[in-house]
This record gives sequence, structure tokens and C-alpha cells, in this order.
Amino acid sequence: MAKAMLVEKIEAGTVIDHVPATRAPMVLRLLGDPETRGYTVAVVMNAKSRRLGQKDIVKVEKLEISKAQVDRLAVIAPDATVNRIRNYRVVGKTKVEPERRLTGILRCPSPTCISSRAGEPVKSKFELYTEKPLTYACVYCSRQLSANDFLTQLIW
Amino acid sequence: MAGKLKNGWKGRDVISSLDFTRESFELLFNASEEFAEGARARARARSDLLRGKVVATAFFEPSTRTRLSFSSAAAKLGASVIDLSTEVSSLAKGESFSDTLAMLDSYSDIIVLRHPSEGAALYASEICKHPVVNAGDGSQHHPTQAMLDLFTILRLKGRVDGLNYLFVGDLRYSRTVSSLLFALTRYKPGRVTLTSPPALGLKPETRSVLVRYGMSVREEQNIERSVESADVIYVTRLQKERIPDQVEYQKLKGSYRLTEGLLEATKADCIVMHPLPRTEELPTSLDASPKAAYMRQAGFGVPVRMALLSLILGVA
Ligand SMILES: [Zn+2]
Repeated sequence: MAKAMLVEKIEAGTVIDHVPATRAPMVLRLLGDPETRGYTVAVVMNAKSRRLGQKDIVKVEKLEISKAQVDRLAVIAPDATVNRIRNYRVVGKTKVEPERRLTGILRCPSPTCISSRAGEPVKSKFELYTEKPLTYACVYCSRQLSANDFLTQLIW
Repeated sequence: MAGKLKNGWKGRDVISSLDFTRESFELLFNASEEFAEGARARARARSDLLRGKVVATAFFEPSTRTRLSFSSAAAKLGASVIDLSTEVSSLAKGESFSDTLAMLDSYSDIIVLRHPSEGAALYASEICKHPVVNAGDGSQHHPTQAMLDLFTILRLKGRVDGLNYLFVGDLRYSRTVSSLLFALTRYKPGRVTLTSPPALGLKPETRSVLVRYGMSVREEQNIERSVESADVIYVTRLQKERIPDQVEYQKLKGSYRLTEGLLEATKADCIVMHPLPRTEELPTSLDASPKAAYMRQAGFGVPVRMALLSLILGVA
């Protein structure tokens, strides 16, 4: 059974479910790489999902994430559900809603944009442009990015 | 979006035409009237409104007209002008744009900036405490040109609303076109028509902003047809420096031109505008026509920028 492969329940922390298959590493990146800060992290990739066919699941022990961090996931996992766990029980479920502004998350693809300029201490800034379909526009050059672009423009 | 914009000018940055309301434009144009030609203008100009103020011009891209019209506007109002443009070479030696801007900010009361990168002016305004005026960034914004264009239309046609506008030429890389289109979203223009070689059509980003503000534009490839109903024809040159491919440039060169024959086919009171400098798209044989408005348009650059500087620096 696939179930047997799934990691055991966590006592407290965050479980992010319904992540599109293979994008678990990007989720960790958007959460600020908790694995590099000593948190215990469990990742299941390509699990069976009725809704998505295959999906990833990310569990981070003892970490509770802010609404802003949840919303940041919109660019790679718009249908994810974020479960807050206490005492082995789900005490809160949050849906992802796109953030108004993304700073330092996406790289602008335009070579003539000031945010692409090498050696300049400028952080990329994108603003929510449309929610359906999800698009963001570069604050500096107005270049618009949509779902497929987010993956290639994610700053690692 | 527009609801959050303020109408006042004091202390504000000028980054994009989209940052301004119709009311702000009208405040500017009323002030510009006072600086436009006439006895009253001379009296106002003598009054040294900006005495003791330092205006910095920082042009990271060649420009004559815009830089000189800002310098002239500042000088007429008694301000001192410091100009970075001749020093740009030192920048090539490795100082970052942000360090240069921080220096200028500490030396001046207002910074007029031109830069080849889109977003440079917005970025500068994040660095500087003093107001930043965008004198052109990349192929995106050139708001003070749009302001003097609107002022020209008001002066020569008496109104901006209800007129039919035709934009001809390089609409893809021309920041004067996108800036004027953005400014027109604050008005109720009649028909807005775009005529350009297919490779030089409006950028999708620009079009999508227009759609968002409810402005509809239509494309008409046939220039004979598009000139007929225009009240204002706005011609732009091919932006050679922004076309990445020089083979492509050679192909596009000379691909559009406003001829005498076309000018004859326009309405009797139609005006032809051009942000200048021009190349072959606008032959000098048109200059004698009463429809040729581009020299008068260029002349409005100084009074509009005098008004702009005085409003921002809080003396108008
Ligand atoms: Zn950009």
C-alpha cells in the first residue's frame, strides 16, 4: 500500500498537501528553506491523488507558517491546502490566495529591465495583475508572467 | 487604481503617466499657460521662482531636446542645474547606479533622469529622498513628453476629449506613444487608431494596460484609410537603438512615411505631431503646412517643464 510509504504523523507543525507533483522542493524554497534551519522535514513526491493524479506532500515539524507564506505558494501550488497541526490533529486549514506583491521571488525575464541589471542591489518586485488566470506584472517594466513562467522564473 | 491617486504635485515623483489623474494634468496645464509665450510669461519667469534650488539632470542615454528643455526651464526660473551626463563615462568604471543616484540626491533638490533600462526611474525614486522625474526609461515611460503632448493638443485643438487619434510608426519601442496612450486613458478620446508595420505593433503589456483602463484601440494597416478621420496624427521614428536586431532594423527602415499626398487626404483641421528628432518618416516638405504642429509641440516643452518643476518644488 502506498499509505505505508507515507511518513508518520507529526505532532505539531505544518502539512502542505495537494502540491503539484515534483514541486515539493519549490515549496520548501518559498517557505525559506526550513530544512537548512534545523527543522525536521518530510517530503512525499508523486503520491497518488484522486484530484491531481499525482501530488507532493510536504511536512515540516514545529514550523507554523504565516498567511503571507501560504499565499506565496500561489505561483507554484495554487491548489495546495495548508494544515496546521497541534497534538497530532489538524487545527486549521488554509487555502492559498495569491499575494498582492512578490518581492525577490520571481526573476524578471526582460534583459532591459532595471531589476535584471547585474551588480545593482535591486530586488525583483512583481504585483498581482489578474487572479484568473493568475498573472503577475513586474513593477519596474510591466512585463507579465503567467503560470508556466513562474516555474522558470522562480529565484532559487 | 485611479481612485487612490492624489491630485497634488508638491514633492511627488513623476514616473509614469498612469500615476496622474485628469485633475493633476489640468493643474499642470493651467500652470503651463502662465509660462507659455506672452508678456505675462516673461514677468513670471523673471521672478526667480526657483532661486537657490538645484536641479540635477542625469542622462544615461543620449538626448538633446529633453535635457536642454529641462535645463532651460530650470534656468528660466532661477534654479542651478548640475548635469551628470558628461560624467557618465566614470560610471562605466564600475560605480553602481544606486550609488550614483544617492550622490545626486545629496547634491540636489530634484533629479531628472533618463536611462535605457525600464524601471530605472521607479528604482531611482526608491533610492532618492528628493523627487525623481522620469525623462524616459527604456521603451516604457516618458511622462513629461506625454504632458507636453496633451498641452499641445489642448492649445491647438481646444480639447482632448472626443478627438480621433492616429498613431503611426514604431509603436513597439516608442515610449512617447505608450506614455501618451496611458495619459489618454484619463480622458475620453474618440477613435484611437494604430498604424504600424506588423513587427512594430504595440507591446502586449501596453495594450493590456489600455484594456484594463477601458480604452479601446484598433489597428489599421492601411495608412491611406487611417489618416482620413484623424484629428491628431502622432508620428514616431523607428527606435533604432532599441531594435535588438540590426538586420531587422534595415528591413524596417523606411517602411512608413507620412507623405504630402497623405497629408492632403486628412481633415482640414487635422494636426500632425512628432516627439522629434525625426528621420525619414516625416519629410521636411511637410513643415510649411499649417497642419504641421511638431515644432510648436517642441516649443511647449519648456513652459510645461517650468510648470512641472515649480509645482513639484512647491512654488507655483
Ligand atoms: Zn521587469
